[in-house]
Amino acid sequence: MIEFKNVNKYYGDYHALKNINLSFKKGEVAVVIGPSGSGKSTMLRCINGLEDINDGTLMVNNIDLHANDTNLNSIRKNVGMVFQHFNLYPHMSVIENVTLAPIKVLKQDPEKARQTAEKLLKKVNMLDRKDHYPSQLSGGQQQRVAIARGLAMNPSVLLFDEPTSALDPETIDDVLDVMKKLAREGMTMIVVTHEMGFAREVGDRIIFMAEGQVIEDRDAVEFYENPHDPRAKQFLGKIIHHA
Amino acid sequence: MRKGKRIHSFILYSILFALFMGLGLPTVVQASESNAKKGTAQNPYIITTDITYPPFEFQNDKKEYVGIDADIINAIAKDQGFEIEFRPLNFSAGLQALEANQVDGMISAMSINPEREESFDFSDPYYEAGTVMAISENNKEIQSYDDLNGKTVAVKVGTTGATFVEKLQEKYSIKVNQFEDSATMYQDVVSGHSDAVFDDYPVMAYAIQQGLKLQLPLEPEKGDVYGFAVNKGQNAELLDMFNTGLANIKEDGTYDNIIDQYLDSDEKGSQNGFFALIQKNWRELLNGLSKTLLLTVISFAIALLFGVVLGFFAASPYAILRGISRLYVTIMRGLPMLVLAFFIYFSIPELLNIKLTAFIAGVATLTLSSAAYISEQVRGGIEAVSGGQLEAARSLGMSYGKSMVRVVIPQAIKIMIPSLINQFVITLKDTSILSIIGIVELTQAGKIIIARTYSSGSMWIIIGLIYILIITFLTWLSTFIERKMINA
Repeated sequence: MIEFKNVNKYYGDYHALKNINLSFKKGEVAVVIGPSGSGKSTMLRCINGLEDINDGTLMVNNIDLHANDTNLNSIRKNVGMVFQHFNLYPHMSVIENVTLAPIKVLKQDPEKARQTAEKLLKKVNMLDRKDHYPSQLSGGQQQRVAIARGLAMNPSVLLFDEPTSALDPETIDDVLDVMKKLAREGMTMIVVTHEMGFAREVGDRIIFMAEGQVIEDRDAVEFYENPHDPRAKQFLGKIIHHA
Repeated sequence: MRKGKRIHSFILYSILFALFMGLGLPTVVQASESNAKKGTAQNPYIITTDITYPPFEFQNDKKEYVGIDADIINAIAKDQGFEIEFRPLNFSAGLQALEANQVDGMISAMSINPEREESFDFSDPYYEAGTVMAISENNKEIQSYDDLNGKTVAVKVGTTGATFVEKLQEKYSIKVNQFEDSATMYQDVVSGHSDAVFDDYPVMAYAIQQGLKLQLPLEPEKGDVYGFAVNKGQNAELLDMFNTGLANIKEDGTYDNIIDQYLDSDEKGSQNGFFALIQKNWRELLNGLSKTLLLTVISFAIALLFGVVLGFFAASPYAILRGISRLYVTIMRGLPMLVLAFFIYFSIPELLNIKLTAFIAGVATLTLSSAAYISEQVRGGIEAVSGGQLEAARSLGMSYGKSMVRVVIPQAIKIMIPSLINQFVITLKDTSILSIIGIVELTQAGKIIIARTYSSGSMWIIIGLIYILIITFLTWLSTFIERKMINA
């Protein structure tokens, strides 16, 4: 459902993505890892058009993202995104954060949107905080609301951009538990993360990126036990050592 | 990134709005200037006078324009059966307005001289007066022009007195302080900043009679003659009527009555105390204050709309819109407001051949200037909302416009409110600059009262206190509203 073919991206002279070829299937949980500056976040952001690509083709749900007549808004409806810093709307309550896009974009009836939102908040264990404001919540709680907000659009894929790296250690597990639950329910997920436990437990495959290239793209357990590339080995050694 | 249709129409409306701002106002005004016959009640002759030049022109307690000039032109208008409307302006501003065809005629104790005759057509002389020197009541040092050597002299820009002092400067070393109106110029001598002042004899004599603490050590210079002026080659009919009317009122005694009323009165004016000043002039001060508030509110409201559009341009992802906004802000920020006011009031009518009322010119000046600062505050507010907010909204499929309206702007407004309140206060204070094009707002009301009472000392304290009180009150009010909004 998502396919990168010879995709290149530049920031001025800087070659951020080098000839990326990747494809993601429905129901798959892919974990993207790599050192900072390796292009993993950039790759993820291209999928919902937050970054434009310079050449190659990027198909999302059989729509060419780079074509001139593509309406990015209609693609984004189907591609949810969870950010490192949650980006909840601070001037809205939890429930309003979740229902805004369904009401404004999908034109859902507000009452129906609220019911859906409550169901999703229950799923992420945040229903009891539905009338709180983001500033009253911990990082982990905010991130779970952000996941519910993404799910409220009923997307065909959910992208996670380092969802736990801005969190206090004690709240990380709550967020990972929610993500694991989603993975088991068959949600298509592409997750940029350093959480190797998560990758091993629910990841179907691991994509290792370095210097703007895809270096390895293999089964999660296999990769974890026997990384081929020396950079992957080194990287893995580092993050496991730190864990 | 690709743009949705909605954005295009948003931009289009914004540009249309900007065009309306630029072109709409003058067009509306032009349309209202009908071609009805000149000099009727619907289309009166616009006559400019210097408001602060007693006994020739000043506002009396009832806010009517009176004085030798005002009474003469009124008497002639009555005699000849035409209608006039006064447009009081500083003397030099009046000259510019006449040249720019902003007004039809000027009667402002103006001496007829060859330079002026190159630009204007003059009536028969209606008054003869010479320049005279005045010094402080207590000054015993200056008894002749020789004593002016090494001294400082106050003159009014563009007057015969100023020309006379220029001639004196060929002989003596004299430092000159230039002023725009008589009251301020006299005050400069009373308060000791200048040693002597040169002005027309009747004006000075009248002021001293009214209680001004000056004396006249010398006889007046040989007289200049005053004439009523129209722009060169314009309004010949008006000039003819003035000459005929003048002959008539001289013959029937009206003319002498007018002159006697202002110069032969033995009634000596008394200096006003602080509270007597407020008591006698509160109505004028209140009117000035309401004009100040009206100017502020209208200008700020339009500037807010215009500034928000420009601020959005500045924060938009489109380079051309950012460019438009940056160009506008650069121009407005680089332009002193006084220059902008003169440009709008004098240059635009001359270039486009239209007439603008001072009020509209004043509103345009404040609006154009404040809009630039407001747009910067709007841009700052939008940029202070983290980029992640826009990304989060957009990645849920919301359009740029919707994301801005629902997510970014509500947060930006809270950030902007304090600086917008500040801008409102600045706009209110900036209205005082518009006194220069003759709008009778609070500062100009003060100048007019001073012109009549020669009480700058107390009057500027009163005016200052009024500004402080009203601004403190408004700031308190807006902080109150702000707190309510943020808690809501």
